[in-house]
Amino acid sequence: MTAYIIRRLLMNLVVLWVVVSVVFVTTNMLPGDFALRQVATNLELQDYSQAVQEARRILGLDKPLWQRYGEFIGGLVTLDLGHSYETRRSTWAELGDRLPSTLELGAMILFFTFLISIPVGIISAIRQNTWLDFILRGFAIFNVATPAFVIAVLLTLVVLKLDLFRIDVVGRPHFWTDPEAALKLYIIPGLAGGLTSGAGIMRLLRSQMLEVMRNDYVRTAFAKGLREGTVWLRHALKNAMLPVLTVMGFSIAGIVSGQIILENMFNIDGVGRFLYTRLILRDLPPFQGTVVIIAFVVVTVNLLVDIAYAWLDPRIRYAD
Amino acid sequence: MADSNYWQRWSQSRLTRRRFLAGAATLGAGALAYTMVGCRESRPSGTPAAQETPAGPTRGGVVRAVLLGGNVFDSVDVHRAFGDPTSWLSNYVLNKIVRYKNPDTGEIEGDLAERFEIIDGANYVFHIRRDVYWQDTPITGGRQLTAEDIRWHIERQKAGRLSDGSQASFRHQSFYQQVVRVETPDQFTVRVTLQNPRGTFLDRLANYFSTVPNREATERFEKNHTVITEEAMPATGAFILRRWRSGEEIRFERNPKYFRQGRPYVDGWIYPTGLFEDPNAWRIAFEQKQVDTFYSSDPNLPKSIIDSRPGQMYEVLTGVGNTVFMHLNMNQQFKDVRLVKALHMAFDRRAAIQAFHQGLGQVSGPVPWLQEGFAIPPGDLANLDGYRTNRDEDIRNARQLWQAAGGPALGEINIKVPDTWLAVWPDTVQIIPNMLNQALGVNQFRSTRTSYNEEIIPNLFNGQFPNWFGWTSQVTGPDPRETLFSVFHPSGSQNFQKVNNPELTRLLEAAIAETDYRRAVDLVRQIQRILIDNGQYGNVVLYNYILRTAVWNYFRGALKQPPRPGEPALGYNIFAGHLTADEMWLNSNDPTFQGRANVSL
Repeated sequence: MTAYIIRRLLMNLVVLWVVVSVVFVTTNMLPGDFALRQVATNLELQDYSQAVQEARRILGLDKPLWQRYGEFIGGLVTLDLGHSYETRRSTWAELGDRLPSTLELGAMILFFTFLISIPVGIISAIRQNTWLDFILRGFAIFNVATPAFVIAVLLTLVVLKLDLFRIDVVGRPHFWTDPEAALKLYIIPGLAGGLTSGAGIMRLLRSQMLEVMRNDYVRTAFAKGLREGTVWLRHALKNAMLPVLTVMGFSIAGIVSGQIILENMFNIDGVGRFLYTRLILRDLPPFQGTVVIIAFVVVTVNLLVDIAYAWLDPRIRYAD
Repeated sequence: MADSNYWQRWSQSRLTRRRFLAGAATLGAGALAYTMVGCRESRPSGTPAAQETPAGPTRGGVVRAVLLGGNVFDSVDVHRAFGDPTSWLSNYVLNKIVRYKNPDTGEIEGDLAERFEIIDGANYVFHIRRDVYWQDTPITGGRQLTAEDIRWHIERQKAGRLSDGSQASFRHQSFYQQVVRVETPDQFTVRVTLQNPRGTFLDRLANYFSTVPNREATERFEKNHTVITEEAMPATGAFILRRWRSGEEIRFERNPKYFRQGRPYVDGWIYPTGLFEDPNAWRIAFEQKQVDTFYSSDPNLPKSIIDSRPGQMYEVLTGVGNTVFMHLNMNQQFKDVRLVKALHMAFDRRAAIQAFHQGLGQVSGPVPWLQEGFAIPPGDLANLDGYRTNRDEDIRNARQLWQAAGGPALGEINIKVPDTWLAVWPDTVQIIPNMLNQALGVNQFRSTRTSYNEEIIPNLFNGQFPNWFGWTSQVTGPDPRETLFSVFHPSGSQNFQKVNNPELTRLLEAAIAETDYRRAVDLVRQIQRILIDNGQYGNVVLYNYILRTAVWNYFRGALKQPPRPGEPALGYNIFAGHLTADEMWLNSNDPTFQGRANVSL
């Protein structure tokens, strides 16, 4: 197992290097750069080219691509993710400011994901082909088919129309500064994101449960006279949860990368919105640095999920 | 031994996953219950009806508002900033030598100058106010503003040099190079001499990008002028910059030493960052009174919000300064002026206003209608080529010209559309070619995407620019003469089409030197008729659309025409930040003020 983990870690380093290089090259191939954004669209400029050149010199964008790539990789080795062209702050500092909001929204989404998907998936499987199953499956299909931002817009309109509560999109409250205001801000995007991601998990869990329920050991458990609830939860659910765990692992990794649309819609200053605005502004160092962090989280979570598999299912053993 | 460790026991427990499920269910039930019950705020029942505002403005309150022009600041130095945001921001903090009393008509009054004299078109005397003091900071010491500040402001931009003598890029250097001398006969008098009479000199001094910064602070931050900090812009104006950082919200606070007594009315302004990048966030903020105004590229959206709360909001209509036009390259595809004249007439301006802006807009002659004083009146314009309300004559003439000038032989013609425009109106690539093909009875036109920064601007000066449709530079002032001169005079810096019409040149030279307003207007209207006769020489001005803004009743801004029953309010079309800074106020007596988010600096 130890050798397997070491091998995976080394492989992850290669994956990270590939991701970093691809991101660096592709983002630098995008049309336009931050200097053009700074100098802005102004047809009156007589010395436009001179102004752009000066801006590029100040930002270091006049250096050849290979030199900038070398500096970027060199920076990564020393955990320097670069500085924002716009704010002049380090990527770490910028991310540090945004991560709390992303985690708050992510926690809210996860909360609703679990809250909705697990009970609904179990009930739908246990009550297969009953009216309750049809309703729950319809609910799941609706949520799979409807993007989170549409659900968020609908929920927002309801809140505004009925004047239910204030969504503080300007003050950007946190749970530790103003829990009530934060809950009111995060509840709609959390619910919208949770419904969308939970619907897929619900359908997966239902199908897994139905498959497990046909196994001999479940029939044996019933034959032993165990209570229905005990059989479902102790015997069936545990085994049905294995594939679900993989999906959930990626959901958690996705949360760190932020919910770009939901964060924008509610002016949540999180990692997703940060990524989006940096790309629009062509503020590349923090964009590239953030992608590196996200890639790191994804490969790490992937590894942890694989390890968790072995822990959860004694039949799985990784060859050393 | 291992079992004695709580965390090991906990991690090995078979109950872990079930415990998690049970916990999740409990938390979920609690959260949902809170959503249903706990989140409802206690608000007074019923909606307050709109009521008349009291006689005069009241003081106090902090405004949270839209950040115009984005917040990517490239410099703290207003002389050297190449982006507009720094100039925009400086209007709340600094003053100009003179300013617009009415930015749409161009009426000018003193600002830092309490009065001024036009000796002739080339000689001006400014009498500087004696009650202007710089914001008291360690850099300025709160000293008095004098004529020397004005002299430095002009001479620095003319020379284009930093305090150490090194050369640098100054955005308006070419304008100030017409200044021959700046004299300060005493501490509060400035005498400016120009090379030649220039009727537009005062207009340029009144423009939003002509604010006068503090010398000591500017020079202190000369080397690091791209690092944004409030210390670099000490105020003389209505507000002090309390916080100014790139990518963060901007805060202004009332300047207690502002020389205009009783102004500003509000205690401060906050420009939150990011809020306006998504209409959903802005709408939430507006409907819940976290901000006071709302607009959208879709004019129906603010309208529907106003209609959903009858009597609580009013509508403000404002002309958008970015003129919509079509730029046809006369250096390449359209060398025959008849071709551009044909397209000038083939383009259905009113149909485009309908298609893109739901009819909220007005056709513009070579001088946009926003520049009220100089534009051809709408009634007269409707009788000219390309502007007729009955399109038959225009279309007939356009087809004849197109055929006569060999238009069909040009083959495929691409009228490109910038990506920033397409982001709002993606179907433009179908609408524009269809309109031109139908009008001219051909199948030659198509549209693809382009970009201002990558394809249009870099190719303007070398004459290789594409044909394109979209926004052109913003109308920044009421007087069009400098722009007309720059675009159509053979020596003009923006004469990308290489126009050289002797009669037009003579009129442009006469207009630019004219100091009498009436005569200048007459000359500009003659110029416009020549331009229309020549299809505007490929610079086909089309129209300016109108922005509809929803405003809560308690919010009172600087309006050209206040709201009346059944009629929208009219805002100023041309940006003049000092009017907003000085005149904006919050009516706390209005019933709609109730429930407004309590904002403090």
